[in-house]
Amino acid sequence: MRYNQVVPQRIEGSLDDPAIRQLLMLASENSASAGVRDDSVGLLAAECRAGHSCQAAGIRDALMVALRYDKNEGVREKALKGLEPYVSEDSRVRDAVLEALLNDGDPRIRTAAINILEPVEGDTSVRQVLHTVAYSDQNPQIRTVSREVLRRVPEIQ
Amino acid sequence: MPFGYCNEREECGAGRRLAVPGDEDMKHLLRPYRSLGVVALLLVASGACMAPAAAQGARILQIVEEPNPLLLGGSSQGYLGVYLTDVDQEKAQALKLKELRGAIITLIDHDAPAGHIGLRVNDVVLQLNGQNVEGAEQLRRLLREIPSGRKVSLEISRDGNVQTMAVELADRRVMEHDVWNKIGTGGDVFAQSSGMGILAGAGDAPLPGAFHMPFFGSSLNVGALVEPLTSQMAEYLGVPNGLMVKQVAHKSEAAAAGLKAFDVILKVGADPITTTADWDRSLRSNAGKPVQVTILRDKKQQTLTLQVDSKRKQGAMQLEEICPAGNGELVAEIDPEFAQELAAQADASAQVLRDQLQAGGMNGFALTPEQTEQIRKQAEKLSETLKSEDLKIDQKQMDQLKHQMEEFRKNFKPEDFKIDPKQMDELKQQMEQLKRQMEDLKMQGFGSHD
Repeated sequence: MRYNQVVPQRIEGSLDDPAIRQLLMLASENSASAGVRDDSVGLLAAECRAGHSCQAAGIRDALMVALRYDKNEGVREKALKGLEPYVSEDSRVRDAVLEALLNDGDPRIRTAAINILEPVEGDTSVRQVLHTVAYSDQNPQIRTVSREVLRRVPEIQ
Repeated sequence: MPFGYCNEREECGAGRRLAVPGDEDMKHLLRPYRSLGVVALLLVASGACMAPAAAQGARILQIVEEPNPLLLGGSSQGYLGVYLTDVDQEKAQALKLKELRGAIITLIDHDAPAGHIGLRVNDVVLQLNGQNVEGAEQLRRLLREIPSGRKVSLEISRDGNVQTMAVELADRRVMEHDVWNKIGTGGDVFAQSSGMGILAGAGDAPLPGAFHMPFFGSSLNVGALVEPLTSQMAEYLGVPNGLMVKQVAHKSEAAAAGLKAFDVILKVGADPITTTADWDRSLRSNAGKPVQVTILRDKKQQTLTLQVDSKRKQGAMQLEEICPAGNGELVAEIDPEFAQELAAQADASAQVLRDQLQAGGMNGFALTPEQTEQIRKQAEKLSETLKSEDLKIDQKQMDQLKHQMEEFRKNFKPEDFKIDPKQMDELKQQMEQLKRQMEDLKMQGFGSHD
């Protein structure tokens, strides 16, 4: 009979440590425990928000995956917040946020997504999605907020 | 004509989609009505041009036919994608300008040429095609005069450094279409937007998901209306997941491939299909090619060949494709007696709602006599439509509707139906919003269709 033995290990290190980051990214996809994902995504998001080397490869992608696929609202919300600083510089982040605004089942996340899109509210894609949400979102508050944003966006030429 | 699709007399006209108050917080309030009466009333009150029995289809048609206001530009004026302001002394200093002139870019459309060539906020446009720019208004005027497709040269100052950039102005309408098609996720919106589904009530009944048409999602319109399987349905069918085909458009690629309503799409090629986004992606990646679609039909897997046409209609799906006239094979006549029941039920539900609103002191929601008259006329029209003999619906949906009505009858007890003050407040707010939306629609020229 053969079996694989899993031995728990404790690893300590700074968030700057690539190995720790790698572990956190793996943990952010831990399907078994929402708590682990929540903590991992929270830490990664905090790194991004603090502007600590949150480049496209790696953490940012992990956050986008969490935003799109995580079943836990709390995890998605943290991922969204972590992506906020990059919405204006990375169109993939912007599109991920737009997708959350269109598709996320949690109104808090959709509301947060609207706020996060503020720096790119002049973008055609953003205005189109806001327009859609303004008329089709189930939540009246989100519809109202979307309309308000659209009203304040100036005429771009 | 399949149930829920517009009949010839309905004005499924362009330019409207209505926000139906259907917030999840309202579910409790709306539940007893199982959507028919209340939502019908609200739709009518919203100035909707739809009959309740046609609401699902009208919703689809709204999606199909609603031109996004952003797409209504209509001119071939060139589009750069910037918002401009004037330079003043303070800004000139901050932006290290040598002269007190130019136009400061304060907002960029990253989807537009401005974004593509890397223009940034706080860049200052000094020249356009060699002509000095004195201020924002002058540059706006110059830009207005340049048609789309024309290349222009911009001299800009960025943090004091002057550089020249060449850019081709876009046709805004075309650009917006392209951007819209790229978004590619709109179908999922509607799959989740249970609040928009009049017949599905609070969202617990199947609703049309993503109709893959140019307005939302893929421009590769194969004519299949799909929605993800619920977990219960997946379990029942013995598959992990998939997309249920809800409708197949007449003469579409989906129809040509042999797809039928209630088929379950499992794979496109070797790729498993779980969400409407997967479906969109598969269609896009197979544009112009025939592709093997694995489906489940009658609990047996089979493979169909679907030709995904990349050049098929860039515009909206044609009405006759989703409202095939006189398609006797797919449709069943609505039972007139049942139609009358529906109409009566809608009236009764509306009355109950009115009573509840009055009892709740909804003084804040006051319709003008004009609006009342408009609603009355539309309600009459609605009842007529429901009683109309030429209204045909899909037999399966008819059965579903009947089932819903039965459930509604069983469960609905007017004496148990109480609105708590908090919900009443929410309802008031929603009614206020509805009023504003009506006013908006009126301002936009979407008045009565009488």
